[in-house]
Amino acid sequence: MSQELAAISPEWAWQPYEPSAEQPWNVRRAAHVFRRAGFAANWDTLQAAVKRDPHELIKEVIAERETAEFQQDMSDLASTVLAGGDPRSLSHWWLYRLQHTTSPLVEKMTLFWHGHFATSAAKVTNANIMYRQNRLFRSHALGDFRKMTQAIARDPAMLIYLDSDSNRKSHPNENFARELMELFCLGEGNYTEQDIRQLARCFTGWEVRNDKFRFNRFQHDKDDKSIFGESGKFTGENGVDLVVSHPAAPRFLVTKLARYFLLDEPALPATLIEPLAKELRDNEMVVGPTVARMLSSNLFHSSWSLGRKIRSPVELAVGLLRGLDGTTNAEVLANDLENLDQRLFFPPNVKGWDGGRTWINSATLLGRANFVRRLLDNDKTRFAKGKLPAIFEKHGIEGGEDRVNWLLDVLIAVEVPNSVRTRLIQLYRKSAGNDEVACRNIVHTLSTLPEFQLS
Amino acid sequence: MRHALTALCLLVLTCQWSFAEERKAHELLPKDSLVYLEISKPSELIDLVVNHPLRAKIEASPVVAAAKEGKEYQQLLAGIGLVEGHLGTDLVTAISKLSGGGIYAAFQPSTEGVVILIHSDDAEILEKTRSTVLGLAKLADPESIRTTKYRDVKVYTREELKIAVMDSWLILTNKSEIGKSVVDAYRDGNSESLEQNENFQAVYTARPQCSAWAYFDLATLRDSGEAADLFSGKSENPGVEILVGGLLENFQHAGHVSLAVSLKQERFAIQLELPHKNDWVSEPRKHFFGEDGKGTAPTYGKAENVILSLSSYRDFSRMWLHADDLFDEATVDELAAAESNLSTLFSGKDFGEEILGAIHPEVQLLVTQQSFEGSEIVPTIKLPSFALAAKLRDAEKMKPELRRTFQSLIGFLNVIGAQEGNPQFDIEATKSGKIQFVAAEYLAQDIDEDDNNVPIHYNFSPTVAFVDDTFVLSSTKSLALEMAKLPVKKTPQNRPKNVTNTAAKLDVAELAKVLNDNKRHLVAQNMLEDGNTREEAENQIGILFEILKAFEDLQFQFDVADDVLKLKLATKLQTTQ
Repeated sequence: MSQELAAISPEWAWQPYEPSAEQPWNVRRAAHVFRRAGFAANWDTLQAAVKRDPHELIKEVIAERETAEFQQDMSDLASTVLAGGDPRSLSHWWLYRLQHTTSPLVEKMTLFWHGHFATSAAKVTNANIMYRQNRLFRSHALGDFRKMTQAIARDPAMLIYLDSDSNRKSHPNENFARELMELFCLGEGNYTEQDIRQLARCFTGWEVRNDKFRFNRFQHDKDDKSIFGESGKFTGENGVDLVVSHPAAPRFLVTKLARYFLLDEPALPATLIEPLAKELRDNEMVVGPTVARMLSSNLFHSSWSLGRKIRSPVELAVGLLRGLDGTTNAEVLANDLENLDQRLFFPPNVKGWDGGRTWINSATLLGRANFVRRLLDNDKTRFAKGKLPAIFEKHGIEGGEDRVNWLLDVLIAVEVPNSVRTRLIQLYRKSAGNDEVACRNIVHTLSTLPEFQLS
Repeated sequence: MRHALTALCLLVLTCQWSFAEERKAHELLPKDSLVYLEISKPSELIDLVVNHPLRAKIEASPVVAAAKEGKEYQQLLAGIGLVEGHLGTDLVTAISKLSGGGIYAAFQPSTEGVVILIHSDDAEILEKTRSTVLGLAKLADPESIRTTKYRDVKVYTREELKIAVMDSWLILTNKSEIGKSVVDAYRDGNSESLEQNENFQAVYTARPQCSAWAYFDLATLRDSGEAADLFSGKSENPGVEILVGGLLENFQHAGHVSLAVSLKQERFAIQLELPHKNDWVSEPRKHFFGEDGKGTAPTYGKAENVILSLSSYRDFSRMWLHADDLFDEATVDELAAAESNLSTLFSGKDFGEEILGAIHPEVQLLVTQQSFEGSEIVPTIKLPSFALAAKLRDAEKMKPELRRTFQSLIGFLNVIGAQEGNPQFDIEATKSGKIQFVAAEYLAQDIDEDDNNVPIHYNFSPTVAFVDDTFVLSSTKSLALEMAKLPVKKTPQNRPKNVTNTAAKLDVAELAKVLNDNKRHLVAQNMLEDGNTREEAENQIGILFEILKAFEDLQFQFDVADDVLKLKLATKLQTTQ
């Protein structure tokens, strides 16, 4: 498969997608855009999308920003959550935001950076500084990677998480320097142990006091350092600049973004990565244009990307709710997602969530189906402001066959075999005496399908 | 002769009917009823609710007006219209006439039967109700209704529910046995009715004038072995013990409990009465009633902006020392561990005997709205202030001890706070007139403008104050000083026959002010918990505020007399437009 991928022409791969008879612009492709560039879309949005030019739609998706009113609401919600002081509540807040955001791509990128610069509240424990970090990710979501990395290097949550909140010149702490090179910017093989030790000296005197970053000039090592063959009296800022300017940085970032937006595996070959890495470098590490190029590309709209990712628990839950105009209790949702190994603000380690195939095993597959059942049975869960049948009533969809077909269009990324479709219709008819039970059974059964796990 | 005989038969039949018609509900209900409930004049109650000024007020509120536009409300109206069409009158009039002679209910444990008797003063409406209910039930499922007869009384059965009309009585029950016993008692009289239950009769005769009244046979329930926890006399934790320990003691001995509900235009009240004897009170439980059973709640003067005032008699020292007799093993272990820590804090003194024992059992708790006007830092969530006041037995000896302990505690909190990056306390020990106090206030610290949150800590300035032999422990300095100035009414030397053991009053308007100060947080909480949008959440919280506006206050009083305990819960309704 890697060989087939390597054979793809980079020109074709990154050229803008043009609808054709073989690759028509339809509900399934529109749903693909919204699923990858956000957390799925409801039926009205999909219907409106297929009537539009795909490039215009993607431009709009990238340009969408939350309204000032929504931002104020989210700020008020955060204020309540922070007043309680419990960092676990932050995940309720963020899940609510993901369900209701008017700028899904920004949230999707915020989630990407949360996994990239992974910091867990389990160690940091302070809700305020975790919230500040989340805001930092959002404000730089599609922006300048260099600026974001400079900001993250001074972020109290990150420094506490990596035990770098007190970094003295007599004992430089290498944790942040190592992760900056290995996990955040370059990847293994692009630096030496000596580079790490030298970079760590740049960050001496960087501290956290009273939950804020502080530069302690008495503890900063002012002597010469030598990194990537360059020498000078580098400061922490110089150190971050040197790393982000390394030729491997755009390649590393594009590879990670491609895995996030296009396909879990195999990794894209260097021939496909290089054109986008060059573009990212040419854009001075501003991420937005590279993401836009990916989402509008032939590769994104091809079978190499359609249904080639496994939904994370958050994508699965928020996608189901957004697709069916659903709302629910954010606290219960957060706790249930934790049982599926994804609690926002609590990534498992500094590498973040592994993602891809690691989300799925026999236990988590059963756990996902049980989660959907609990979500559907929860009294606080509403669809189109009512019980589950309300979403069908809203769109005037009657009868088992139409309802099953509609759900497959909205919720499933790939075609399911006809036998499965028939079985679902029969199942609906079995319990059709009770409309709500029938609808719940169908959505629950859908959630047990392997196809449901694909994004 | 034939005519005379016919006339005699008619007379006998008429007399029988008349006799039966005059029977009271408790003459029809089984003697061994565990629960008896009576609403003797439902029409008055209905009239009061329908014409209450609050109803117009609630209906005029935007929230209710919006709800009336909703689909559910329109469906409800359509359903009511259908029923009214069948009855030939509006629903309120129909219910008033149907239940003009009262509504009564009983539960008989031996049959697990519940019976409801509705005494109508309008034969026509009774018949129409019967036919409407049956008609609607048949409409839903024509096969679901079975008809049988018992002593010429037609009984309609649907699943567990049995309905019968017997002259002016409508009978509803879930068990045939209890239904039959009602018909038998009605036809023949019954020597095994509640009428023959002497205890019930005594309590029933003395019942107060009220809208609804209920009787519970505690002795039967206790003897049955059901609800064993209620009669065990043990409370599992100190909180429950402080609240209802005395009642638990009484439940072990009392034969019954009665409940009277009174609804008037301006007041709604519930009164619970339970027989009582001071001899029933065991030594450990004397913390609740006092040595002579006449422990009395103190009466303090009025403070400003009071949300809740609670005064009670509770001998905490006695409760602490008798913990082994009152609580389960796990709680006793926890208290023992707490005592060890507290003794350290109080420089080795015995916490139960020497510290709690130094405080008189008459205690007053005040919760007031806190003003942040002119404050440099206003917390994001605004909490009310609260303070506890009591008298010290040996004030001169205890004052320095309590002052020193308070200062140690604040020092300890500062150390913990510093570790967690929380603001630090500054301590002030001074005098204001006769009042000596030690107050700890949080030092103002820079609040990051980017932060959405000003810490909850700034709601507190913990203070201890002393005036004469009164000791005040408060969450804020201002309330401590205010409470220390409040006059305390002297307890009379000659103890009266009835004493108030506990009294509490909740001022709903003041409570609404505090909630209003935090309204945006209530809305936010609702959004997260119910998944609502801001608009939906604001509507739901709006309903809460509308409900609060219906009440002026909520009062609770627990009175102890030589032979009875009375718990009264009353609320004053807001009747002005």
